[in-house]
Amino acid sequence: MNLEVRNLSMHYGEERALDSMNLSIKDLDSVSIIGPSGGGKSTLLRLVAGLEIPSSGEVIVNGTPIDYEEKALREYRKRIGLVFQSHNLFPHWTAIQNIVLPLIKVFHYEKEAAYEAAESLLVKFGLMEHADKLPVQLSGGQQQRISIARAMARQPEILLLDEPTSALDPQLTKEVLDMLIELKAEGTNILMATHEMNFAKKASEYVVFIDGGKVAVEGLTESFFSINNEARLGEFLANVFE
Amino acid sequence: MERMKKMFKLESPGDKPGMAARTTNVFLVGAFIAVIFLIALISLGYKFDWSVIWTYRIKILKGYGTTFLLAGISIFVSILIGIISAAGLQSRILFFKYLARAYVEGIRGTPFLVQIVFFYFIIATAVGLDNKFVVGVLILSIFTGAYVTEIIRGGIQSIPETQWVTARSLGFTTIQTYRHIVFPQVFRRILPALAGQMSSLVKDSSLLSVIAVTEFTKNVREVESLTYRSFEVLTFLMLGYLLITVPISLLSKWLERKYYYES
Repeated sequence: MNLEVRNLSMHYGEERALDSMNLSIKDLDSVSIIGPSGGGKSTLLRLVAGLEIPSSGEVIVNGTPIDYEEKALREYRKRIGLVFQSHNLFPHWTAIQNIVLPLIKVFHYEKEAAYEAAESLLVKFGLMEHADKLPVQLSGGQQQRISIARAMARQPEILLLDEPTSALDPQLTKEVLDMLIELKAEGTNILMATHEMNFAKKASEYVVFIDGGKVAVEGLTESFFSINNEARLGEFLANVFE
Repeated sequence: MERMKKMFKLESPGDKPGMAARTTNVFLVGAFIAVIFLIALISLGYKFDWSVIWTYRIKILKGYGTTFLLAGISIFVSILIGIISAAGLQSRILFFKYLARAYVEGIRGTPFLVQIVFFYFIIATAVGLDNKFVVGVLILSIFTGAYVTEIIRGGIQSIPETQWVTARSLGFTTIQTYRHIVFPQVFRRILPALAGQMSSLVKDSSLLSVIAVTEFTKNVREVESLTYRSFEVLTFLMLGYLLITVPISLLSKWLERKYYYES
């Protein structure tokens, strides 16, 4: 993926969630965004996902600037897969309906084709036995994996994940991360905000540390974790690994 | 002893009683109510004559048919009004928003009896509407629609923000989000309140007798004034309403189970 963020600002009243952020990602498959809560990770993801309109600046995804006009945004969102922390699935639909109905309603798939696509994803990720269960009957980890499968069903240019495991216990976290590692191995472009440093180390090529609405430190994964001259990052990592 | 206790008392309020315990206690409640009525009747020295109901069966049945039809049509119209008015409340166009709010507050803040008289003698007369059945349906639907509006609004607001955001991120339009995601869940959540409101509608239809809509209550009360058999006809009147409201409540419970999706 190519992602270019130029002078991106997002203000909510007095609060500056993003403050003239600049970021340039070129030809990378997987990028992790780390940093303290409230530092701007989620805001950045929501802007890249086309869910909010920035106060100023621009975001260029794979060469095309995002047009922040509602109709264009709706088209743009079809190119992106997005998974939140929790409650991604619609509770009145079964697992497979959660994957199928967006394909039918948004992408105008025929019913059979949509079910075929959904089933092959569920089989691939070992989730087929849960196809006809309601979200309430699934564990948190299963819910997140179904959500990721739903995001992948649209064959997104980028899979955006906003702390997808922060509501899960270590066992369920592993389930979800294993799935992401598998996706990465297949060449899926992943941009993920996370608190899982081991995952960031293992599965991403590039790490961006965001603090105070700006990119504080960034670098290729191997070099990133050996950076030790940045006080804020050192403090953050020390706290995470404590 | 322990088994005896189980016949009359649940371990916790949410438990389901056994078949025997249920039958026994339903019977006891029935007997309790019957005894109270019996004492009242004995002290009045009342002698029954149920034949009046048979004598006036045509009049009573006609009234019942009218109530049934009146309530049935009003249920549909009031829900339709409720949906439109709830959409008005959610609208970004301020005129519609305030219009819906004024409607809801105006109706909910004034007595139904006054509304009936006002609508019938002023508005209906002004527009030359003199079919009492149609006027009855309109008044009942407009009245109930205000309550339905509030029920729907509450239902929509109970859908968490995350679902709206998720729907948007998946590329759903606002209308699609309402249709496929919000309404099906709202429907399930508001069913109990809606069923209660519809039972009220059935009962409230009896007030239309003040503008001489020849519905159940009016016809039965006429039989009463012709025969002076108050106990018989009023008992029959109450049973007649229960015959409509109990199935509504059962239907609602059945639908709730059918569309169950939460723990």
